[in-house]
Parts: sequence; C-alpha cells; structure tokens
Amino acid sequence: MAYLELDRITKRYGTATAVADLSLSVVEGEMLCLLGPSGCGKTTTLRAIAGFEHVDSGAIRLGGVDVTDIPPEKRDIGLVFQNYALFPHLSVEENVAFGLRMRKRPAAEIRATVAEALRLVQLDGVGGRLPRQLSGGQQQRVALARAIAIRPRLLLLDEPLSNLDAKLRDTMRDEIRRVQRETGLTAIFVTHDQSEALAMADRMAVMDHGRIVQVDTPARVYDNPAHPFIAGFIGQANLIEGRVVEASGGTALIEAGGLRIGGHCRAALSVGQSAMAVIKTDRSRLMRGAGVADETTVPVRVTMRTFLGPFVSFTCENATGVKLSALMPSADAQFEAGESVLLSWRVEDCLIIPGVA
Amino acid sequence: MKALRGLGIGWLVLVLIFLLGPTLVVLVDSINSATSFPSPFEQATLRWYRALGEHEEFLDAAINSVEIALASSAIATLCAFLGGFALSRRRVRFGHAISTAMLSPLFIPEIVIGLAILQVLGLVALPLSMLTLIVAHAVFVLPMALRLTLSGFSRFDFGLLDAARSLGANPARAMLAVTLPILRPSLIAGFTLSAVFSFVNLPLSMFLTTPRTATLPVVVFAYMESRIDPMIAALATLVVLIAAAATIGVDRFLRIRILD
Repeated sequence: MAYLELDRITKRYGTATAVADLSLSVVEGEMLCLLGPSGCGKTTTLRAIAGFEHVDSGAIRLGGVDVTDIPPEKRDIGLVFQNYALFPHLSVEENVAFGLRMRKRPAAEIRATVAEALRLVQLDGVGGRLPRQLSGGQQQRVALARAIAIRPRLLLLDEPLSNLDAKLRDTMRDEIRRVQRETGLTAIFVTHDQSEALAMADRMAVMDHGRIVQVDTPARVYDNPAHPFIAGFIGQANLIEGRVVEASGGTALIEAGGLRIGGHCRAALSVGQSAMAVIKTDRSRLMRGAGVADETTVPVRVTMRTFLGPFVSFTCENATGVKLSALMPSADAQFEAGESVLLSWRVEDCLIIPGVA
Repeated sequence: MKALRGLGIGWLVLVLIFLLGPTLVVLVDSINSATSFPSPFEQATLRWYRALGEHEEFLDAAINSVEIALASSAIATLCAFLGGFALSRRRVRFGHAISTAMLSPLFIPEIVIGLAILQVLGLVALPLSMLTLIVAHAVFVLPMALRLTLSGFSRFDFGLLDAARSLGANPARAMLAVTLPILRPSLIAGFTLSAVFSFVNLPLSMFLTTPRTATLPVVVFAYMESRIDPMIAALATLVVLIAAAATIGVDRFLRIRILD
C-alpha cells in the first residue's frame, strides 16, 4: 500500500486551476521528484502535501491516515525551503533545535538530536554561528538538518539546489541523496531542472498544467516519453511532427515535410493519425558518403558546429528546411559547418508517439 | 579636496549650532543667577533647580506625562505590530487605504485632532479622564510606531512563518518565537519615538487634560502665561537631558538605530 497517497486533489485560485484532479502514490523510503516547467502546479502540490494549501477537493493520506484537514504543524512533515528560510535571529543549533523545542522534548534529548543531525549533514563545529555567517551550501545543510531533526514522516524539498552555484549543486545533490538513504526517509522534491530529477530521483512524476503526465523511473521516462510534452522537456531530442503512413508490429513510419521517418512505437497507432518522431540527439549520428535517403537516413547540411568539450553539437538542416541536431563524442566529430553529410539513427532509437491532436 | 573638506566641516558646525544653539542658551540660563529671563550671565547657581523642588505641580505633571507616554506608546506599538503584520502580508483588502488611514494623524494638525476628539467625547458623553487622554495620545503617536514597524516588516521573510509551522509551531507560537524577536528592534525604536512624541505633546493635551491629568507641557505652558523665570529653563534642561539619555541609551545599549 502506498505510504503517501494523493487522491484526485484539485486546487484552484480564482478561475485558474493550479492542480487538476491529481493522483499520485509514493512508496515508503523512495525519493520521488515532481518535475515540470514553472507554473505547472508542482510547488502547489508540494505545499498541499505540507498543509499550507488547502485543496478544493480530493484527499491526502499519509501512512494510511487522512491528513487533508490537519494543519501543517501537526503533520510531522519536514520541509526544506527554496531560500532555506533559516531563522536569522537564531544560531545554527537553535535553528535545528526549533522543531524539538516546539515538541517540548527534554533538553538532553534535544542536544543529542541536534548534534546527530548536524553530524549527518557534516556541519559539526558551526553550531554557534548565525545563518548569515554561513555560505550558501552550509545554509542548505542547516535547512536539511533542521527538517530531519524532527524525525519527520515525510521530507519535502522545494527546488533544493536552485540557489547554489553549479559546482556546489553536484555536491549537494549527492549529499541530499546520501542523507535521505541514511535516514531512510520518504522524500519528495520539486524541480524544474531535468538533470537534477534524472540524477536524484528513484521515480519522477512529470507535471504539466496541473496534471501528472507520466510517472516512472528516470531511465524509463528518458527512453520512453509518453507524451510529446515530455519528449520536448526531457533530454535533447529531435522532435518531428507528421502523420502516420505505416504502422505494424511495433514499428511505424511517419511522413513529415517530405521526409519519411521510421521508428518503433509502444502505443497503437493508426494510419493517418498525427504523430511525433522523437530522436535523441545523442543517438543521432553524422556520416560522410552519398547515401540515399531512406527511413533512418536524411541527407543534411551542417549549419552550426558547437564544441562542448567531451561532445560536439551539430545543428543541421535538410533540403526542405527540417532542422535536426546530433550530439557526438568529440573523437568522432570531424565534420565542419557547411559540409553535406548524412544524419542517421537506428530504428530502436527513434520513438514514434501519438501527437497532441 | 582639502578645501572642500574644510567647507564641509564648517557647514556641519553651522548646522549643529543652528540645531543645538537654542538648547545651549536654555542650559546656560538655567544656571544663571540673574532673576529675569533671558539676561546676560552673572554667576553660576543651582537655585533654580532647588526652586523646582518646591513646585510639586511640576513633578505631578511629569509623572502624568511619563505614565501617558508609556501607556499610549504601548498601545500604539501593539496596534502597529499587529496592523503592520497584516498590511505587510498583503492579504488585506483595501490594505493601502487602511495604512493611509492609520498614518493620517501625521498630516492633520494636532489642534484639529484635539478639538475633534473633545467633540466626539462630548457627543458620546464620555468624561475626560486619564484613559481618554491615553487613547488620544495612542492615536496621535500611532503613525510613528507604524512607520518603523512597516519598515521592519518590509525586510521580513514571511516564509519563516511557514518554516516555523512545518516544524510544529501553531500560528500564535510562530508569531512569538519568530516574528516578535525579528521585529524587536523596529518595535523598540517605534515605542521610543512614540513615547518622546507623546511626552512633548502640547496641543492635543491642552484640549483633553483636566487639572488632575495635566501633563508637563500643559503645566509649563500655563505657568509661562503668567511669568517667565529661569526655573522653566532648569525644567527644560532636565527634560532635554533625560530625553537625550533615553534616546542614546536605546541607541547604544540595545544597538537599535532609532534615527535610521
């Protein structure tokens, strides 16, 4: 049975619907990510779980208990805020002890729990300082320690890495994951950054317009986007919209702008319906030679070459103006801008999904 | 550069003389043995301070003034805290109109406020008392407390209250454990400024005091209508010294900037 269950929750602000009839189950001990562009309702969903937004309809159950009408202070849910929201007038130790004080725990227990929480986030030794005397990364660790010190039934993190610089982001990403595993806490974090979601989550729920579009492991969402929105949002892919001209036994052929594109498909497609070919740029290859155009090969001209260190990104265009990109390891990327080449892919690397309408 | 700097210092000295000069004249007059006021300096004496001790009405009025200043500032600071909290959170309908209304005593002549309150009290048949005087002063000093509180709240992160609640504090405890301590400097500064404005107020008190509730400025004003002698200078000097000590004390020892 699900540990946390969102049962058809809806939240409206005036006439705008922020969360629309959303259902989601979270398993105990997992780390789930709510991923989506800004305004997709992910933060509202997180705040509803924490108790700061009262849902208009639906129910939220935590550990089998309906908490929909329970105020935030009685939910035992730890929350790490995007801007950390550390109490500026309290020392690091007092910040971490805050939740235990509110629960009127004995002083000795508070001291031990605070020390343990600070050790877990590797912050022993700065307990007496004020938040403003700490670096951004340290503040993030205090916020995490404060949330886990109350031994919450659920840990929520709102854009936990967005205020850190790139280098620190990778460190904190691993740190949050480590702390979550060591404590065995069930956690949900919200982000708009797909690489954070792919790297940190056990499962990710991709949201758009207040709904969950797909929930699955990062690898499966990455390889098998269920919806054109996800195909465009996750990973770098060539997205080509067209109409199905052939479909049989797990493969399909679409026609788009004079091109015939072959790939595999999971959903049943019928001839004539609108569809989209999703070809990941890192699975597209360029090669020389005067090959003929077929279902997995397009003659193109390189319009731009961008060196990215380990990879080179090529932007190409075919004779009818369809733009296609390829990301290739630098070692195999000996092509110049202006050159005429062939862009090809394997049938299993091109996914044909039903179009939006 | 050097010449400019010299000019700047000269200007500063002029400004200080302009601001503090009159006070210094009063201070010198209070220790001048000459009996008429003002007059050239004759001899240093403390007799005017001793004479002050024989006039109990001044001490009684000073006690009234202190009580009124403390009570009205306490009311004003509490209202400013709660009002400032609600207005800064921007969840209030007509919030702007409400804050303008709360600040309006600042733009209305005190004599008009005094007269208006007197008439309203007459209409509802409430007799003048210490309580009515305190409430009137609270209304009058509310803008000072509110301005400082609003500026304090403008730097306050309301997300801290969500943090406190997620950690188990109900709204009231979150207010006491988070909002109050963070706003403390603004509240103390607002309270101090309000108390000073209430203490020196004459126009409002003139309309609303009775012989039993007469404040220091009212008694001094009445005294000076019949005669002017250096005893008033001595009194004024004491008031200035006490007010300065209180302001500097708050500034220095509580590390709170009143004159920000």
